[in-house]
Amino acid sequence: MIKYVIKRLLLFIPILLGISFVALIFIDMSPGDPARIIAGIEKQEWEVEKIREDLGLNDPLLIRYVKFIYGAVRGDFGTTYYTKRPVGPDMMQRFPYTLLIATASILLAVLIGIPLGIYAATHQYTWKDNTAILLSLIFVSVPAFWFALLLVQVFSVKLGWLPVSGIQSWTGWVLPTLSLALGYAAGLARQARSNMLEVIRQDFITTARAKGQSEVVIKYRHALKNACIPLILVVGGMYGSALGGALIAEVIFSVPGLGQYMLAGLTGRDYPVIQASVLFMSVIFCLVILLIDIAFAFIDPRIRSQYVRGRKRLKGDA
Amino acid sequence: MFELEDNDNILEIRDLVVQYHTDEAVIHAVNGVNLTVKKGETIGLVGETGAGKTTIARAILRILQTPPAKFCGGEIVFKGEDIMKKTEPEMRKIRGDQIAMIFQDPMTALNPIEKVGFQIAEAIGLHNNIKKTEAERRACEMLEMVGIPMERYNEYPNQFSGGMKQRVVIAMALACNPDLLLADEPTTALDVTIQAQVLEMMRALKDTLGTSMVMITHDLGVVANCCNSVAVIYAGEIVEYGTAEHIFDYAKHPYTIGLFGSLPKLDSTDRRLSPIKGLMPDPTNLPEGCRFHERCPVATDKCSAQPPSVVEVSEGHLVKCFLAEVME
Amino acid sequence: MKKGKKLIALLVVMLMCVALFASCKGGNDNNNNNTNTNTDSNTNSNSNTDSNSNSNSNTDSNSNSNANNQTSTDGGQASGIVSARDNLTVVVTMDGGTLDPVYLYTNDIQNALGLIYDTLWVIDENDNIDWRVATALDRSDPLKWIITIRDDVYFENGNKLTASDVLFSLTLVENRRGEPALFGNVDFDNSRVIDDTTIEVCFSIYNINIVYYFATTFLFDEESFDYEKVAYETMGSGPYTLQDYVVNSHMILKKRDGYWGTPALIDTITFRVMVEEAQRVNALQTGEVDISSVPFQDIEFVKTLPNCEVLMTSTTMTTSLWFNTHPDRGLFTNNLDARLAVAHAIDPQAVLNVAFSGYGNLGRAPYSSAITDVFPALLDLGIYDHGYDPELARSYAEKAGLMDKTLVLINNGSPSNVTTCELIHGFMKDIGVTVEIRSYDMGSWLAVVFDGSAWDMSIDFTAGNTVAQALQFWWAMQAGGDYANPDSISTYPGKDRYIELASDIMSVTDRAELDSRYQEMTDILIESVIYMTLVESVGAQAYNPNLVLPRLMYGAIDYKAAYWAS
Repeated sequence: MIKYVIKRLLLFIPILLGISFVALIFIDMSPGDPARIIAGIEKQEWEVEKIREDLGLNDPLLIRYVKFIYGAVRGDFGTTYYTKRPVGPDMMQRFPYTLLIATASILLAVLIGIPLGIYAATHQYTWKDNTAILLSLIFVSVPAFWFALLLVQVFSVKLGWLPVSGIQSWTGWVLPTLSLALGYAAGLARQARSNMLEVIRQDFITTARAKGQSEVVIKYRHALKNACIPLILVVGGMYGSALGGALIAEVIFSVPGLGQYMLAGLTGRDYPVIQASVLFMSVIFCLVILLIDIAFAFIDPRIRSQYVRGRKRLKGDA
Repeated sequence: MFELEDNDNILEIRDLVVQYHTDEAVIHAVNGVNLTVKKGETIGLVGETGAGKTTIARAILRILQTPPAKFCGGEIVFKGEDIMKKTEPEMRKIRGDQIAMIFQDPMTALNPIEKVGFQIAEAIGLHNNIKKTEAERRACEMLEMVGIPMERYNEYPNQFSGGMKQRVVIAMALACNPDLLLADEPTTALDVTIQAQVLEMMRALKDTLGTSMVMITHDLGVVANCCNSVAVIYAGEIVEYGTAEHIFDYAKHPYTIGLFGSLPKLDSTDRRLSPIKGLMPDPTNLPEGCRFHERCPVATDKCSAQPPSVVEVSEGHLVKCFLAEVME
Repeated sequence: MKKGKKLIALLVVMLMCVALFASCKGGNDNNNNNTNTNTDSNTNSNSNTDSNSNSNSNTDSNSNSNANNQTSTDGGQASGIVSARDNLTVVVTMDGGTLDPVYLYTNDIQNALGLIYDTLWVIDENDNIDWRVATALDRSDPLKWIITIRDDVYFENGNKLTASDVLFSLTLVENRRGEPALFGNVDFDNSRVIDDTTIEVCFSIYNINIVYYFATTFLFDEESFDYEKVAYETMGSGPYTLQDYVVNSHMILKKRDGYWGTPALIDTITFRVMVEEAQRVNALQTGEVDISSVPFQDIEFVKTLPNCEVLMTSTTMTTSLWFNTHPDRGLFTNNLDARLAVAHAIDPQAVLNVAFSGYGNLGRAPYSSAITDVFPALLDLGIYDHGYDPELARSYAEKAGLMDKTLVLINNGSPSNVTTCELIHGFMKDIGVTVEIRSYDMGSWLAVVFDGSAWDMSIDFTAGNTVAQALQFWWAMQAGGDYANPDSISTYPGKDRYIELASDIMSVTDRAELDSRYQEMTDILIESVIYMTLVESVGAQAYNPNLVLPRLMYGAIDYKAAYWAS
């Protein structure tokens, strides 16, 4: 197990290097010159050139990349082009907000979505199942942006229960979390439902019935456990996606998170910000996936038994 | 529940009719089956895939999915009581304890995320009011009985080969010492050599514990190995019934004859097999008269007009065919 | 479930969602009876609109500021009772991420900082100096200014604001921004402190905009200044101090004692960042904010809200159409008929109505007529006098050979610009000419617009404190960033003369000379139809009617002077 973890951690390095290099290439290839954006439209070319020199934009791509990596490894991500504020501390200040939104949404999605999916599966062919499917389909398809504004209309404007935006009080966290969570909950519900339906049709369920086990235990112990284990991987992927998707909630609800920071960097072609944010997000995402995989290995007995016991199947056993 | 004497019938099926109702059509799976199982006996249920064997077995245990499946007639009497009239909680007490079932595919019959020992202990614990440790102890005993070292109690199904998994399934089924064991093609998914071992083991256990068994199979070799009586099923009906000797040496029904005839023989110089021509009829649209008449090499006009009745060709040997009458 | 039933169920649920959403919008009419979420004593705000003494602030902003002309003091108290309400919440549309004025590029935060820091003076709507820390300015020598300041100004930490602080603050901008042009004219080597309250600032070249720049330069305490901390901490001498600042979220300002001027009338001002336009309207509706800018398309709706009044603010910004006459492109190069064709094909009134919901004014000159040193002779000439004429446009288009060409029209992606492009597309289609619209974002647009071979027309913003600045701006634009290379400059009749006049227009000191240049350069631009101002922009601010806003500054509300009437 330790070997596996170490191997995965070592794999981070080429992955992150690859991602950051590709990101740099894409940014570089896209139109827009940060020096010109900083200078504004009135400045002359030679003034812009001076800014370009100062920012190190005239160095070849590889040199800039190496400089960035060298700095990143030491924890120095440079300063933004516009405000000259250090990128690293700014990112760390904003990250907890994004983390909070993403985590809260996924938790909520798990709490709502999985029970809903299981409920739908165990009541298949009834109106309850069909309603659940319909609702899941709607929430999966509805764009988070529109849905967020709809929530504001209902809960802030019409009912006045929650503030329109801002996270100065705890009530301000409810709507951003909700607007993200429901989409993921719907996805989880569909997945949970489909897993459950598949599991219920498996032979071992019939075996359990033939043993005289009650339907309730069959459904909520045997089937449920089998259905939910693969969901762990799904939740892991969703978490990574939520880290990025929190951007929408951040913009609409004025949450001072990493997403907005990255967006501002992208719009202004602020390379240090973009590169640092991309790298940071990638690290977080890789970590999350790794943790999920480890958790999965521990939770799924089939995999755990191979690692924990270390005893392989004897050949010739019949 | 009164005590049985040695020769009593542990299971009697009379005129069982089971259909599957789907949106599109009605599937006539079981069309009037009569069967009896004596105590300690092994009866083989032979037939092609789709003949209705599994449906009968599941009907006995009442684990058919009753939205599509429907009981349309007949009785199943187990130890003198009508299964069809029992409530679900009563059935649960019977399942696993008095009637147990072994399924076809050992690879998927076990819960992949529970320990094998636990799965056996679960069966024991369901039907006996004993402490968990006692159930575990008994489960270990069962494992040893099927030839699996009890140190492997805490292992998971994926750590066992197919043959060993099937042994676990058997252990699970016999853990509560049931009166009747329904074995639905228990060796079909196994290699031939493993087959022999498993069958041998099953026979030994059966003899030790005195269990009656219904062995569902399409493999005549298996039948020969372990069955006292044999019932041949075609299109949801029993077309021939008798002892193993009756069926193997004195088969009378054209279908049974055809089955034996289609077996490849080691000492034959024929280059081609001789199967029964045609296919099993569509269960949603069964033919009139004798269900076999379309494929029967010796069918007459009468065969397509009315269904034949049962004829006792010799003592204990029943055939459902017009020609059987004639040959007597 | 059968398929038919599934479909019906789907339709029913969708209908429910749509109805829910629709009823939410419609339910706003019932707002009269809703209690808004404010916990203060403002719940009776619904009935107060008539008694508001400030009901004249809905109309043109100019009248407002003239009616309350404060000259040498700030935070003036108009008649009106100061209420028990002690906080104000204002919406900020964007947060630049820093409090360092040198790197600030968002106006809203700058307004907030203006409450914390002082400036030497401000320039009012009539182009007059309105004193703040400075009390006198001697400009008799245009290259050597003598500035006199007050001696009762103190920073939050107790340090006195002296002349050396002023000089330091001026050099700060020059040193850190690193761009020579902003204060490039200031000769810091020879500028000096004469005494504690007098500074002598020397210039290498006179620049007409310097007095405006100094009006927005914040004054720092030299002793405690920290180059890094200034991005998130403040040490000012203004009426407010910074209590809390979370980037992209909010800023809280608290009134402080020890301010030299008239104390502000509101205790706490909270600036809330709301990037999303729709959310600003929502926040106005619920009453969570007291002041906010309003997108044009929502002005009518906001006016119907009982807790909002709308104030139009003037700006010197315009939306213009710019023709590419760069030699590398060709369609409009040396082709006045082509430019006239497009100019006559567009109806600016339609652009105003559709892209700006009717708010603003029609263009009257190659710059906004709201710029303070505009005089009447510059307005309503040429294309600005007899513009929209599709028949004339078509004849020009045929003459110019545009009928079988495709014109590439670019913009920087902002919604009003995109809508304007679509309208122009429609107008040109009416006279039979094809236009291809390419919408970029700001960064990409800047890159494309400087590539003379990549576009034919562009929608652009212009702004400026003076006509001189606007005229020089157009020169900078045309040069494509490279004044030195004559081939990079667009061609049009009068170009050489224009460049000659523009090259030093910022340093002309003689008013008469300046006005004559304005006239000549404006004529060249109008004759050559090198570009066309379509719309002069205005701004819209919504505010709680219980607020009294006696003064605007640079088109924005001056919070120092605001107070609540009960």
